[in-house]
Amino acid sequence: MDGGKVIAGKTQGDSVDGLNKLGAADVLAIAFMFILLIASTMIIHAYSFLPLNSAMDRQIELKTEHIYKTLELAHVYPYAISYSRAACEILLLSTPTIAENILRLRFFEILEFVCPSGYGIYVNFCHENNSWGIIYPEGSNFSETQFTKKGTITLAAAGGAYAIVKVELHLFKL
Amino acid sequence: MDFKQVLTTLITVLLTISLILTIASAYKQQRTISTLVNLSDVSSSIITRLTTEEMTFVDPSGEKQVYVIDADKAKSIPFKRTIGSYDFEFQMSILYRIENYEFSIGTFGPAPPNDRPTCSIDVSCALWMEGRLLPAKLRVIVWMD
Repeated sequence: MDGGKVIAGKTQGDSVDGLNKLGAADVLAIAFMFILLIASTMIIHAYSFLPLNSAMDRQIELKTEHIYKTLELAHVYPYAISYSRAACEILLLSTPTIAENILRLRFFEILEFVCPSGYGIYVNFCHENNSWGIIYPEGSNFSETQFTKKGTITLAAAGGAYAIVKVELHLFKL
Repeated sequence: MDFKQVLTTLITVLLTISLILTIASAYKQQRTISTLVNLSDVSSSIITRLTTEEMTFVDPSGEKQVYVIDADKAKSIPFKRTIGSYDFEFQMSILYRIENYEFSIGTFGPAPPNDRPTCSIDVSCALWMEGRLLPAKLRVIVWMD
């Protein structure tokens, strides 16, 4: 009986000592908790920026619409003709109001003025197989188009003839 | 209490404090971002209303020219707005370009505060000036009143 108690006492004492030891499993559990904490912090912070990015996108969408309308309405100084109409004339008329080299320069200036920082603009005018386009900043790659505004401009001539020119404006992140 | 128990307790306390700080920081950041998103949407709403309604040029036939602004109207518009039961104020200015030169009109409205977040937005439009439609930018800075 005494021997049995001693054996039982040793067994109980050993298991208590074992619980108090900081083993590999405990270290792993603590390390895992730290990793979980860091990961959750990063996820929370990354996720919280999503609504702000969406709000920025909504602003850029609004700016795209306004840039399109500005090109359609604002006159090329000192002429009394809008930027979009002048571009359409390049496509349709043999003697346009504004020569192509001057218009390209003026277009570049206005795109520089209206373009949001960190973005580029590509505008293309297309009539049947002819097209005329300009990109700002020059030589930038617009493959990742973020915002597009499409429309048409109708040019009427004497005698009831008219032509429809397709316009595409792309605003892209640089 | 031996060294290992002290260490375990310390690590547990450290983890708990870190978790509480993370949650508090995330909550604070969420509130800031929510305010900024709200301000951004309100500024978009205000500037759209200005370019399509309140600042628009009216031609001699009485028709409103949307996206064409008339700078003379800047003095008569209210700079306080109530949107979604919150009060906002804004300051406005107009930039326009003739050839390579940039000019500005304004500012109109109260000065933005230094102790509250503000949101600035500018959109392009056409400016009616002396019989010409010039490329321009309308800029507003919005803050919560």
